Amino acid sequence: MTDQEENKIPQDEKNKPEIGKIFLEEINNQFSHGQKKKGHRTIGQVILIPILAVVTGLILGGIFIIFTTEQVYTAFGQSFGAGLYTALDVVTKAYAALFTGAFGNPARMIAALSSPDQVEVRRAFNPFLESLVTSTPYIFAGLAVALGFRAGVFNIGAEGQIFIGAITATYVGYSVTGLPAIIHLPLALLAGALGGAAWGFIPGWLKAKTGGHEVINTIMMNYIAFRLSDWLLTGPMKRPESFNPVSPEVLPSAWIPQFFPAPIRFHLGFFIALAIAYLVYWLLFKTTWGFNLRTVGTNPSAAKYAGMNVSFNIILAMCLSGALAGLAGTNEVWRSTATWRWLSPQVTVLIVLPWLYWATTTPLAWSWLHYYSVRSVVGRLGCS
Amino acid sequence: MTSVLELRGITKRFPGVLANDHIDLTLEKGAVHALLGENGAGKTTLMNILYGLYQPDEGEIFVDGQPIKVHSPSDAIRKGIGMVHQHFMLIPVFTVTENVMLGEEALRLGGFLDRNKAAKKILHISEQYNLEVDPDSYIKDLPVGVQQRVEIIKLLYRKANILIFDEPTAVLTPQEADELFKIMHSLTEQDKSIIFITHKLREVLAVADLITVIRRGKVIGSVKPAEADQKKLASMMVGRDVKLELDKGKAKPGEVVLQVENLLVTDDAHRLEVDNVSFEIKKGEILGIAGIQGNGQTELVEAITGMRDVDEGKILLLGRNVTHLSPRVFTEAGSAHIPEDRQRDGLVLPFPVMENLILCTYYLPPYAEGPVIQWHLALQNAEKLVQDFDIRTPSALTPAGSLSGGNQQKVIVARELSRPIHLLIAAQPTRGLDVGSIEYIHAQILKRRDEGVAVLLASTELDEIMQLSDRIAVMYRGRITAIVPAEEATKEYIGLLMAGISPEDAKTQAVKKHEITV
Repeated sequence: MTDQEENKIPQDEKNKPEIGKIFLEEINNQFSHGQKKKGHRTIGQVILIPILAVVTGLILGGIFIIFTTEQVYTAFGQSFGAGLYTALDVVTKAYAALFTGAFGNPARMIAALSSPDQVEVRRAFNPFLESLVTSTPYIFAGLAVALGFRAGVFNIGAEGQIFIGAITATYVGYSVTGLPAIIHLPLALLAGALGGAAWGFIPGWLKAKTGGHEVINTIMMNYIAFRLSDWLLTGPMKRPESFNPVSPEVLPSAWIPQFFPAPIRFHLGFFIALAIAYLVYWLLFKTTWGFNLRTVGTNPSAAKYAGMNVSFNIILAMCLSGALAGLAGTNEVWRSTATWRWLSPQVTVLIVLPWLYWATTTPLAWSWLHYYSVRSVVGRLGCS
Repeated sequence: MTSVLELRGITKRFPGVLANDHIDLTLEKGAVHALLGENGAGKTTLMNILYGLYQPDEGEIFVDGQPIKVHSPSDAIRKGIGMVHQHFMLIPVFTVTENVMLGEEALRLGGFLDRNKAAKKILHISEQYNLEVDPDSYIKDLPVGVQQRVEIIKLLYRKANILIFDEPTAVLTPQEADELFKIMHSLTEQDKSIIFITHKLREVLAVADLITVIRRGKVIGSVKPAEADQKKLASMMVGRDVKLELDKGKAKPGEVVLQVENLLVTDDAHRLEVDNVSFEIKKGEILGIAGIQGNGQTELVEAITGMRDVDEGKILLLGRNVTHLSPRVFTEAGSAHIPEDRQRDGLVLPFPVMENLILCTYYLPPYAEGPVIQWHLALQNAEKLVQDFDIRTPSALTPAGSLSGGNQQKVIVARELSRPIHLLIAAQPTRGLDVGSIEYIHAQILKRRDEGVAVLLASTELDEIMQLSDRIAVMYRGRITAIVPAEEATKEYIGLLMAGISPEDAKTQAVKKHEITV
C-alpha cells in the first residue's frame, strides 16, 4: 500500500475529459461543499455522459427504424440515392414525432396562443406537461435507487415496493371516508410511503441480521408483490361493479390537485418529487443521518469502528429507499385514473435499467436530467 | 563492469507535482542497485516510466548502450526489463506452470498447451537460480514468499536481464526476506542486474551494491553501503537529521486507567484467540504488546475497543465496566483507537480528508447542531489538523484514498489524538510507513504518554516495541506469557518469548547467547 500518492497522481494527469474516467468519478463523487474542488469536473463534463447516452440511443434507434421500415427497402430497390433519401426521411419523421410527443409541436403552440380557443391552447401545451406527469414516478423511483446506492444497498426491488406503495395508497384513498382533502391526501401519500417502506424493510432486515443479499431478496419480494396485487385486484380490492382487475376509484378528497383543466393532468406530484429530491440530497449530505448512511454504504468496517450502528443503517436505508419507491407507486396511481390496475411487467422492467444508471449521479442533477431521457423513451413508445 | 541500463535526465511532471526531476541512474551488470526514498519521493513513478506505464516528459533510456523507447510493459519485457510488483499479478486457481506460461504459452502441434515443456523450463530456471518451487502446485496453496518466487520465475522465463523489485519485502516475514536476499545474490552472480526499490534502511545496507537516494523527485546522491550507515541514509531520505533513537524520559505512572481481567475472546470461527489475559495500564505509561502476527493481539485490541464480543472476563476503563459496550461508548469514555488496518477500519477512503477527520465526532457539537452537520466547522477543523499534524494533502477536500500511506495514517493519528483522551490504543501504528512518518508518529505517541495518557501499543515490529514501551507484554498463542519492564528487556529475551519459549528457559538462553556474543 505504499507509494499510493505516486500511483494516484496520473489520474489527474490529463485534462481532457475521458468518458470512462468521468463516469467513474461521477460514481465516486461524494459531494462538493459549495466550493470548487481542485481538478473538479465542470458542468459540461458532468452532462457530457447523459448527452452522449441520448445521442447514442438516437443513433441506434435510427438504425432500427431504417432496418424495420419496408419503404426503405423498396426505395433501395429503385436506386441507392432514393433509398438513402427515404431512410433519412423516415428517421427524421420518427424523431420529429418523438420530439412533438415529448415537448409538443412549436408551430401548433404558437398558433394556439394567438387563437381564442382555450381548449386548443391546452391541447397544444399538453405534451410537455404530460411529460412532466409521466416523469414524476420515475423521479421517485430513481431517488429510491440512488439513496440505496449511497447507503450501500442495491435496491433492485423498487418494482415490488412501487406495487405495494400503490396498493396501500389506493386503499387509503378509497376506503377512508369523511376526511377533508387536507388530511386525506397527505394520509394517502403517507400510506404509499409506508407500504413501500414495509416492503423494503423485510430484505433490509434480512441483510442486516442474516447477511442475505438484498438483490436476491428484493427480486423475490417483487414477485410476491406482483402476485399479491393480482390477488387483491381480483379479490378484496376488486371494484364491485367491474369485470376487470381494477380497484375502486380513489375518493376526490384524496386526489392530488391538478393545475389546469382537462385534458392537462399536470399535478402537484411533480413538485413534490422535486422537493423530495432536494430533501434526499439534504439528508444524505447535510445531516448526521446521511453521514451514517453514506459511511455504512462506503465502508461498513470503518462505520463500525466509528461507533455507527451498521445493521440499523442498512435497514433504515432499505426502508427509506422503499418509501421513495412507494411514493413512485402512489404517483403512478394518480397519473392513471386514480385507480390501481396491473402494470405490465415489461414496462416496469424497462423502467429499471435507466434507474440503475441514473442512480449513480447526485439526486438533484438526477431528477432534472432524468426527465428528458425518460421522456424520449416514452415518446418513442407513443409514436411507434 | 559494464552498464546494462542507463537513465539520463528523466523528467516527469504531473499537474502540480514534479514527480521526477532530471533523474540520472546507471545500473551495472550483475549489481543490485537500491533506490531508496520516502513514500511519494518518485521511485515508483521512475520505475513505471522504465516499465512503459508512463512516458517521460524529458530524458532518455539506454539499454546496453542503445537508446530505447518503452511503450508498454510487454515492450519492456521484450527489451529484457521485468518488474516484480508489490502486489503479485498471479491467478490463484492456476498452477505455477500455468501462471508462468500465461501470455507466453508453449504450444504443441495443433495449438494445444504444452505444460510439460513449460514445466521443464521452469524447473531448469528454478535450479539455476535457487528458486525452489513446485511447478504443479496451485498459487492459492503457496505461501507469500513462494508466490514472489513465481513472479521472479515469470520474468526469467521471459528472459529478463534487468529485474525491478518494488518494495519486495513489504509482504514477507523476516525469514522470507532473508531467503529473497539469497535469491537476489544468486541472480546477480549469474549476471542478472537488479533495481531494488525500498524505504527500509537495513535491507539496502544488507544487499545493495550501490544505493541511490531520491527525495522529492530528485537524486540526492549515490553511496556505497560500506560508506553509509542507517543514520546517514535516513537523513538523505528525509532531508534533515533523523533521530532513529527516541529521547524518551522515564515514565511517571499514575493511577490505573485500563484494567483487563481474565479476558477470553474467540474469533469469527469460534477459535479461542485471547486466552485468559489480564493486565493493567497506568496513566503516563506505554504497555507494549509484542508477539508474532496472529497470536491474538488483533482480537485483544478489538475486544478492548468494543469491536469484538468478549466471551468472558472484564474490561475496566477508569474503574468503569466497559466490557460489552460498543465502540462509541468506548470512544466517549475518553479513549482513542488507531486501528491495525487503516484502510479497512480507520478511514473511509473515498470520503474527503475533512469527513474522515470527524469520523468519530461528527454527531457531537460543535459539528452537529441537531441532525445538521456544520460543514464549515468541520472544514475549519480539517484545515487546522492538516496544518498541525503536517498531513500532506492538496486540500482538506481531497479523498483520503488518494493520499500516501503515511499521510493516511497521519489523518487517523490527527483525528484520534486531537481529542482529550485518557487512553490510547495503537495497533501497528507505523506498519508500512516511511522513516519520516514513523519518527513523527512515535514522537506523537510519546508526547501523549508524557501528558498522562495511558497507551497500549500492539506491534509486531520488535524494534518499535523496544523503543517505545515502558513495559512489554509478550503474547504467544493467545496468552500473555510474561510482562517485562523495559529496563530488563533485551531483544534476544523478548524474541525467545515471542517464539513460545517459557520465561525461565528464555532467560537462561538469552543470557547464554549474550555471553557467547560477548
